[in-house]
Amino acid sequence: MSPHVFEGKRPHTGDFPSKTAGGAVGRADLLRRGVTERLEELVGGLAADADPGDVYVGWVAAADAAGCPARFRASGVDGWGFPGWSPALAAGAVGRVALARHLDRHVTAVAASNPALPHPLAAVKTWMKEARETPTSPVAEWVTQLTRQGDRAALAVTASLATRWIAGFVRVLGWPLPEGLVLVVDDPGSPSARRGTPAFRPRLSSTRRVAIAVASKPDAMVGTVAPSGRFDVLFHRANSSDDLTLAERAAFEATAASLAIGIVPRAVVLTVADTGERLRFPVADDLLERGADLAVDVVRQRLRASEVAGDEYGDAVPSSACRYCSERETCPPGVAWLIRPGRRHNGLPVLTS
Amino acid sequence: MAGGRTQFARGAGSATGGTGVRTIGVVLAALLGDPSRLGQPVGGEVLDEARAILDHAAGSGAGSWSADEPLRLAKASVRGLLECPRRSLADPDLLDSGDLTNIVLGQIVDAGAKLATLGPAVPPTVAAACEYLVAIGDERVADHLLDVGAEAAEALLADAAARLDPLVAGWPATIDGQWWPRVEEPVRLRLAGGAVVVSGKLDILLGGPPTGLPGLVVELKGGQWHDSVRQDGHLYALLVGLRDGVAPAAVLSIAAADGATQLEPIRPEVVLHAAERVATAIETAAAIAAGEPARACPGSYCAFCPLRPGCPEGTAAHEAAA
Repeated sequence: MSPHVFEGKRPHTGDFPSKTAGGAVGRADLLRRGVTERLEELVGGLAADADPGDVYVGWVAAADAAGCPARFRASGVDGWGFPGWSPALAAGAVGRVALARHLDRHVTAVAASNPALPHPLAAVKTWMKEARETPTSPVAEWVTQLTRQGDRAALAVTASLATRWIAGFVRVLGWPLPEGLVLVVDDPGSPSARRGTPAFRPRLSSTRRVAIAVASKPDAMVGTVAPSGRFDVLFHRANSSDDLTLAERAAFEATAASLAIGIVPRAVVLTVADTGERLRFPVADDLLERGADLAVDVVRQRLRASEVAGDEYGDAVPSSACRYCSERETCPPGVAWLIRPGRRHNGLPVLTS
Repeated sequence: MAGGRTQFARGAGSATGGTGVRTIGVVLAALLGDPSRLGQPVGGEVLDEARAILDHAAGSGAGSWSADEPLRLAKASVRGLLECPRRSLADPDLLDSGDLTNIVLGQIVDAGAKLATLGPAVPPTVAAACEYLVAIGDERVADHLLDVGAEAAEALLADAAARLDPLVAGWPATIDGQWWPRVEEPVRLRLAGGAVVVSGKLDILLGGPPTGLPGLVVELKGGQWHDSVRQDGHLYALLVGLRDGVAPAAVLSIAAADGATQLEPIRPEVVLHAAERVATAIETAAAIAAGEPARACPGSYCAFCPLRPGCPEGTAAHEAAA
């Protein structure tokens, strides 16, 4: 799972459709079958009276479930579902579409050899103005709604965060953007962008009906999405945490993208604005296996949450997150961790007297 | 270069007070209008040397930490480890949050200046700054205003307006898009494979790669000037430099309560000094993590240190001061 520095531009080497077991399509087929079998087994063992509802498997759920299964199960419907748009959640979507509009007008349309560097704040404001006139995506409708409500503060914060998203993306990837990079947006009609791929929805033969969707939402694709698998899926983060999480993110996204697209990509690229890093994870089988484990575990925990009558904390993984966890007063491992002797804060011992 | 340190007259915090905070906008506008006044930013060899200083410190002490459980440093912890290592270990739950009213005032002024940077049609008001804070998910100001009651809240908001209004009245009406105005820009440095992490969040960042313009960090303090503002600015310049491959050309620090302003050019010595400070903090932390007792270094902070009752040095210093 070792990352490599992303090199960006690559020579076009053509597409070689491969449906053999070792090809990009064959590997994705194999992965789909393997994940479906594992999900089949989990759903087949679900208690008769359990009702897990729809199970959406994205990176946030995967990170939460892997971080502390007990906490993930306890987060409930509100924690598992999409919480609704907010400036923080909208930042990436707005940043992408605003940058795509800039590319449409100043790069793609004019085939410029020396394209104009975007001005992030101006690009975002221009898009917001247009979106209010003709909203064509869920996030544009949300921005329109904010305008109607006169919520200037939320609009300002959204513009600020989206500006930072564009600035970080362009700063880390360089300008002009790498050859073959195409942004992924919800807004239709942009020649500089493409729509996202629908989630993978396994067809389970179990008599129990549990709707499962495994989704990957990259910020961009680099290269042509074709059966050759000669493309990268790219995810941009405004903030990083640690290397372990980045590797886990790469694993999950490699698997989720392979499942959704039906083709195993060449690599997962993670760009991180706060550190300036560009990490490239070639999609090897061990990365896919780890990602499958992460995805399947989300379903496992969701099914278990629908079965467990009371609180269950046996598999809790205490960490600094316990300080903010809703279960911090009732979860024995968490309580013990918070009051443990010799506890550390930010890597240093804590003195109380 | 426009000035080393410019300390404006105090007293600008009242609505009819001095003109210091108005002048800040003029300073900023002048710099943006003529970027050559910012001078040449530090890059290349100096940043390599700074990186080597930090790598050495992190490498020698990293055995105590891992990427899973790293040493996390930020401006306050670096300062704390250098001032009084023992106090820097105080349980966060025991730390007095300080003068809440002043903190709230600072947050409002900070938010207002950030809003002004984002370029609204009219200068932001205290009410707009409070709404901005709620919109970013920071409810502390709103909660505090409710807690203190209507009369005190009104007085606090009036005080905030006295600081904010002149500040934003003098702010550049629009900052040219080529400066890439960004607020709350996060920056992070990972050392020793992630075992040591140093991070910060810049109030305002203008220019820098890939804009082709020199970088300018603007740090806003709602309260009065104190010298740690400089040290924080140095740290940010170091972190941005190591991230972007070129340091900001200058840091413009503003204390809205007294109008104090400092434009500090980021020279090679400043970058290296900032790296040495962080390295010393890492080495101090490594010694503590390895089991050495944390030294107590008494200072004015002993007055509100939660560890003072059990600290002979702190108790003696506090009694002597009293």
